[in-house]
Amino acid sequence: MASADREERFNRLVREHGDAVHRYLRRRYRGGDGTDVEDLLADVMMVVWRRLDDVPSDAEAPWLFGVARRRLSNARTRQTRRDRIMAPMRPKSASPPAEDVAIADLSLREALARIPEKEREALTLTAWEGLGPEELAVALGVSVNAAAIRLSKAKTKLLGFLEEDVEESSPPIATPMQP
Amino acid sequence: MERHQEDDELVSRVASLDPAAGVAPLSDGAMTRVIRKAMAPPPKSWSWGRFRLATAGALVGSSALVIAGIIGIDAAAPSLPVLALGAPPASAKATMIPYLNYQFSADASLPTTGGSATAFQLDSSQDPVAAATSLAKGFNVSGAVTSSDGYAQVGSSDGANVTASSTNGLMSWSYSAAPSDFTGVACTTSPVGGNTGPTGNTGPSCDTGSTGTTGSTGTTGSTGDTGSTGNTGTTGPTGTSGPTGTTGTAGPTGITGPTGITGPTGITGPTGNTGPVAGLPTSAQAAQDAVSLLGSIGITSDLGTPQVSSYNTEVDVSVPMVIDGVTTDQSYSVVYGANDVLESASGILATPNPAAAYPTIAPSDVVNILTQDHGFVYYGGLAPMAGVSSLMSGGPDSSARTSSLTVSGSAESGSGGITPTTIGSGVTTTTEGPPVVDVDINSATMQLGTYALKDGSTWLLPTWAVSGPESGTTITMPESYSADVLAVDSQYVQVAPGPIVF
Repeated sequence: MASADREERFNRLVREHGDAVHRYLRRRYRGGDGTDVEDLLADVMMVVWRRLDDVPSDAEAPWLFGVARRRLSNARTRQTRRDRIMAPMRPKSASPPAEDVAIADLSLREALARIPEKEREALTLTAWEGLGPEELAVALGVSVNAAAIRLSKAKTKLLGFLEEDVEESSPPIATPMQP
Repeated sequence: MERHQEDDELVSRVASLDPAAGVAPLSDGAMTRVIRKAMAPPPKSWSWGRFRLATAGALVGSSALVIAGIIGIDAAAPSLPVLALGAPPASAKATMIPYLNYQFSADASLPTTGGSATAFQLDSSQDPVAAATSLAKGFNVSGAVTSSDGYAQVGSSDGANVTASSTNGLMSWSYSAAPSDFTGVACTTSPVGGNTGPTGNTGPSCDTGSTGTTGSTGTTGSTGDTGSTGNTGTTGPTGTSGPTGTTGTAGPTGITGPTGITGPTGITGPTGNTGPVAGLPTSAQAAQDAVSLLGSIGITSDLGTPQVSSYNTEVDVSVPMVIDGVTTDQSYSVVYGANDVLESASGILATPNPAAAYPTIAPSDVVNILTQDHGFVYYGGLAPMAGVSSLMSGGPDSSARTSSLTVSGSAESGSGGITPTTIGSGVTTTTEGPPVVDVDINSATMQLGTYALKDGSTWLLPTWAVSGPESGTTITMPESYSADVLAVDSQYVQVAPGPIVF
């Protein structure tokens, strides 16, 4: 692809999907302010720029979510290690992840937090990013069948936890969440 | 159909919790910045020098950043290497809102004297390609080897694969089974009573749903009414004997009564609870298999007691790494699905090399660190008190702040957080703080926690894993607080200013 064409496509990709990827990162990056997330977005787009020829034209957005997912994972690893340095200041029982900050439905929030991460990601990509089965597979980097299984597992577990929650009494609002 | 609807409702419910719902779209300026950054040539890489023997004097310049600086410093200069940790993250964000104010106290049962404990450097000598290739043999995974900076993978992403990646000199690995090896979704038992229950969901190992009970037979209709008798024939005229009157015609047969209405179909019973997929291993079996698996792929670390969590579709095993009987915060994860199929596994590949035995603080002193270094818990993270101070001192972001603040150390334990506060040049105001949570630290266990040093190496350092019950107005059910606190005496710990390089 000619240099001008590459730049044009990249510009279009960022303009069309940058906002969605930015929201994806905002939803999941713990403790970062807007600037941190913008840095992460630039990090994602840097990968996109370098691998522009690999971006499938019929699945651009999910492919970008897939890159964002991996970069986010790296960033979280870095943050975990950084948090370790500040471990004396960090109680295990009281630092809700970013997904929890604006969540009012406490029982659902807690149930979501109990689902294994890879399955929660399948569910939130569906609910928040609006991905369909095929797009979900691209974003997760797995087959459509595997993506469907993850999503199904997530729903089953979420329902199970919610039912458990109904049977037991809900914790008070101010109770810190268990990790 | 019902399940489908339930699924849609669930997804909608999760969607309504979108934490980015109120986030404004990226501005054109932000888009431009992102594009410019992304297209810029990559910066030249650089790294900090290897771990060095810092002197106690290095502590002076960074005293504000020293972890646990409240611990008394021994008059004698330390002869052990100072552990140069990376700098702490940025101070509290302006939009953070404190929602709990923790007040700590040490239970009388906590030891008041310190001791010493060995620090270990985690050494991963293999490169990612060699590590992934070696592990792939253990997991019987074949396929192409792909690699990029600090990362390698054997097998395809949509099939069975093994990955290895190196960060801070520490190798992490993972195994994922091929999706076709995964079990189907959880089986659902069929409804009780009524029509035949639905067949259990298809899945490689799902049990077929049991047949529902047949509905009760309808009530038999009542017998029709008897037909009426025929009319009597008329009498002949007198005189000549007339012919005998004809016999009256028989009355019409009574109309058959309507067929009884069939009884209602039995009411369908409630759907049975979702059952576990077939062939999940028991907790004991999964724990045993996990330990055996780790040995078979070359994990030579000492292992602690496996922790098992069972779900309807999988059994998760977490096996802690143990060194000389001390539990570390590193663990190996192994997940089994239906029919005892290994679905995934992960962990680290590193040798813990003993460095030196460091003096450790007393468990009772942990409370001082907790009190000194924080007390507020924030949505979005926890900020040190220095961050709170900066929040209250005014500045460009002051408009976004809350007035709901309590200054550390001023609130009486359990007082509810109404605190007179002096701000700036002697102006005293009263602010209503967040609810107070009292924590009685009554347990401390020596463990080894993972810390990244500023030179890019990763260590397991002695930590106190402390815990204790919480109490206060917001606590309506038993809650336990827990935290890991670096146990190395502060004179051997330095948080150097500058960026952390990973």
